[in-house]
Amino acid sequence: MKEKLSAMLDGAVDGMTARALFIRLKYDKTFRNEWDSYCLLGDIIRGYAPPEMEGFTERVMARLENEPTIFAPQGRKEGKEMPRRFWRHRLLLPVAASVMGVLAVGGVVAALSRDAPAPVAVTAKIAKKPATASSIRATNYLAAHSALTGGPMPAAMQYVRTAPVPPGE
Amino acid sequence: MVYTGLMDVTRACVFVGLCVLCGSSFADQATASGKRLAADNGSENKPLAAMREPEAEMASYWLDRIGGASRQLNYIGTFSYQTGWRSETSRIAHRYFNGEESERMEVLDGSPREVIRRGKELRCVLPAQRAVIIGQVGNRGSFPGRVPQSRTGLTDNYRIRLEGVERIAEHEVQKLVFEPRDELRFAHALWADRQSGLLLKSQVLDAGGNVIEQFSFIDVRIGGEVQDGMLAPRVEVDADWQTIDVRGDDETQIGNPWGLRQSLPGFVLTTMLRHRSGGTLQMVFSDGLAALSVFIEPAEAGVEARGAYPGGGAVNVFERIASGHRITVLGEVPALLVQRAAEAVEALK
Repeated sequence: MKEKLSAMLDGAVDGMTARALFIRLKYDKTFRNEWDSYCLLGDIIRGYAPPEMEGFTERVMARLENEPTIFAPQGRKEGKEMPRRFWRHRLLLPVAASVMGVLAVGGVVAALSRDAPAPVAVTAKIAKKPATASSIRATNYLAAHSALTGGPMPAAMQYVRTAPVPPGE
Repeated sequence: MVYTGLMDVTRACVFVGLCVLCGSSFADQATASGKRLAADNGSENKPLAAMREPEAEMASYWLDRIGGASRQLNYIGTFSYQTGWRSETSRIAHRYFNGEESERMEVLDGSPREVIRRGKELRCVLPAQRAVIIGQVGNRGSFPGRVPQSRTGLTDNYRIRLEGVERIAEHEVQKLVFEPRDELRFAHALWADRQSGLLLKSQVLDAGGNVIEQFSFIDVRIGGEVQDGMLAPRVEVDADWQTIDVRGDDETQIGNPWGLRQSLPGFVLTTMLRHRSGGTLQMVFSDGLAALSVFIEPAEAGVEARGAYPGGGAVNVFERIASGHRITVLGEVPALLVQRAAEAVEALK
């Protein structure tokens, strides 16, 4: 079932399977915890670190700066043998950030395995993160755009999109 | 290089729109797409506008239903939003009463957010940033009321077709596909409830047919009463949180010191306003389905241009510095278009 959950996050399941998974999420606490973990990983990669990982990003980035530059090897052409290719390449992360993501995931897995706080507690801590001028500006722009331009969905639904994060944020 | 102000850009866009409506082929894009369409249908002698008329009527019928339903129905539901590896579940309640819309949306996982709408005002509460953004719904209302021109303009930018009837969240839905005629816009797929017209699923797709982002209801109750409690704010806002007002007042083109060196094919200027806080100039361009905003504000000394970066989901952003101002273009369109738009913005001399 974990594989199906992972596949759903990759956008690789059909609508019926997805609905079944969401229904199970409503009633199965263990399954919901798995879901929370995946979401936590997402938060980490986006830079919302839980308190256990305070300074983790800076430490890894400092190490990366001391590493020699490694150019990404020529990627193989996207083919049908990679059904989830799109959902991966949409990450659009630079190489260093990708490395960060891998390391962060490792860190989170380690944190989770040693009695890490429940996701709810993490959420409470997230609220303490101070806003930066540029992230707020980018959020403002997206909010102003979404409200004015609307879209086929109700106005409020447009806000579910994440604020754009400029490089270096 | 033809250097035009916004007035000229608007005139040019209207001119192109009229050309298309009249079946003329002055615009390069209209010519190219017209030839393609004629070839596709094997009826090169048939006027372009006449060929697209049934397509436009069909699109108009469904877009009117979708737009009307999203504004004028009561509904409560849970929906998922997926983009890339990220998936979030949110809850929404919408009420239409005495001609006024009220909404509450809450993101249930990931970074918490709450959006409260009362009439034209939207409050977006962002606990992660300890901020509240106050915005306004456009005067033209939400989609598709924001589409100012004839829907035949939409068929000039997209091939539109009905696909099969499917089932989403226990509702029978009609699928509608908008395939772009050029590389300046994404494809869109919409699934509308056949009975009420409410949009239950939406996808934005790239040129390869890959899904960039998707909204989809998991469960929804259409109609019935929506209690006040379902629309009330629940996130507590601390006194020290930042409040940002991105509302603005309509700005006239007369005296506007900014212009575009070249028009954006298929896009027309629909809104121009000056933000009350900070004085940022915002211009909104729409092709009838997708939109982009151009933001212009004085740049801080020594600031560097950030260039291109991805926004959330289908949103792309491009930022540059010109004449001491920060130019930011943002929209649910390909990166190519936001960059082209940003580079076309210049101060008029």
